[in-house]
Amino acid sequence: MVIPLLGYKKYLYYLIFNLKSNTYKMDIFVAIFLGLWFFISVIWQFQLNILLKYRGYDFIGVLPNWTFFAPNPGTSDYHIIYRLAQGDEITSDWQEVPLIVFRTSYNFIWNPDKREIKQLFDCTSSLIRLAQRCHKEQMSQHLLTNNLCTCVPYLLILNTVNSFSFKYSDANASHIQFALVESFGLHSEESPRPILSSPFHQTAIRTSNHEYAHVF
Amino acid sequence: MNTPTYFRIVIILFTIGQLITTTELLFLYNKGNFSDRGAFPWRIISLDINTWLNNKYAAKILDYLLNKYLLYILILELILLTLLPFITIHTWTFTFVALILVVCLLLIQLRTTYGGEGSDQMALILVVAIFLGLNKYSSQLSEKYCLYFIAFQSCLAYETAGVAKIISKKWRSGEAVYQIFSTGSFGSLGFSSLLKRSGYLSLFLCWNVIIMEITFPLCLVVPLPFSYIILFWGVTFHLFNAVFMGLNSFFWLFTATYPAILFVISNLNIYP
Repeated sequence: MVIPLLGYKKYLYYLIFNLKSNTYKMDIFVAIFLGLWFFISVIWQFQLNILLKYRGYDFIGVLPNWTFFAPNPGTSDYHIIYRLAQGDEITSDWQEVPLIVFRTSYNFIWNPDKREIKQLFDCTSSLIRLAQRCHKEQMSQHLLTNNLCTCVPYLLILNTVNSFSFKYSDANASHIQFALVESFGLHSEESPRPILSSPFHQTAIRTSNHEYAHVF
Repeated sequence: MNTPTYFRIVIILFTIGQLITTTELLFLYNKGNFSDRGAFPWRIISLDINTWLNNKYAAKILDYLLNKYLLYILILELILLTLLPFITIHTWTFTFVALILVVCLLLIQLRTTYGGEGSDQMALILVVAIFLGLNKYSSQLSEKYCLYFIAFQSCLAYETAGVAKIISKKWRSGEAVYQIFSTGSFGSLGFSSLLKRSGYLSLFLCWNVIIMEITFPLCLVVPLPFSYIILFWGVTFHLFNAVFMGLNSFFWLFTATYPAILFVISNLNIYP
């Protein structure tokens, strides 16, 4: 990158007379660092199988995949529904955790709620990918359930459901089950489709001073 | 215009976008979303990170920074963002402020592993380029590298998105825009009703996006009036996305890359 920007003569001059300066070292570092970052970013866009297994380790998102709604655009909404049980008896109907909120007039400037929706989207996509991988590896149902129930996206959804039911539902329920459902747009006549149904989990416990206690 | 002037405009647009993002995160913090019973509980999100780190001291430091003192990190970022456009570049103060901002953004990216979006990643690219290009030791050459880097990352983003769309049948047939706008997550009831009535409008919008994204990198090499048209097309596209899809941060953080693109155009000077 240095050569096209400066020309060969200037580049040689620059190389010879600035070897010891901090500015020179910084220029070299910046060129190598940003050059490498851009190069890897380009390779990353191809989503090669060999690289995809490292995707989970990019917690910071330094390597973005810029496909934005493509090739498969997000044409459905994900919903979390849950029901409660007391001992062996189911005590409530399926209820929805209301995450999707319709756009307001100021959302083009200020839109904090988008992150919760995006999180549900990310978690559901991760769960679907994990389930597909388990099927591909011909895992038993027991192992598949084990894998799903202990992964971070699953626990995040369970936490969301648990917190919501703790606030708004029967406080005496001892167990909770949730399901992820996919619906197909505001004008669609297609019925919503269940994606995943969890086993029953112990609910969040109300402690003596009405605080929230964790169960997992 | 000289290199620092282009960088100044990048900084202003980046600051506006990032101020909005940070205040949104503070709002979510205030709502309890980052607490144990919120949507982004650190005790769960940290599981994968801690397994990967496999170091209890690092885990403890991250717990302090991203759980106990997250509020302070967000407030610190807000203050530094407010100061950034007013600090003289290539000084120790600028270097220090920009470096702390890089660290803050990295930490917040780590905290929002789930629920983060493309604009956050562009923000990280911008802040690293601002730090590397305008610190105490960087020369005019480093400034150029950084502006080139921002411009190329931006072009890569549009090109990838465009290619991914043109290989999709749903995008080519015009279904995609209508279906996306029909969702509650990204859609708009009024606009999706309009699209339902007019299939041609949906087809037009799909191809409009595909052509805009695929041709975007050409803005670096075509004659200047055409470059302006492509960039104006991009601004309109992001404004539309902000208004109808609620993608507000994308508008600021992607248009923040445009001054860098303008710099590259003038630097390449293919059509003098």
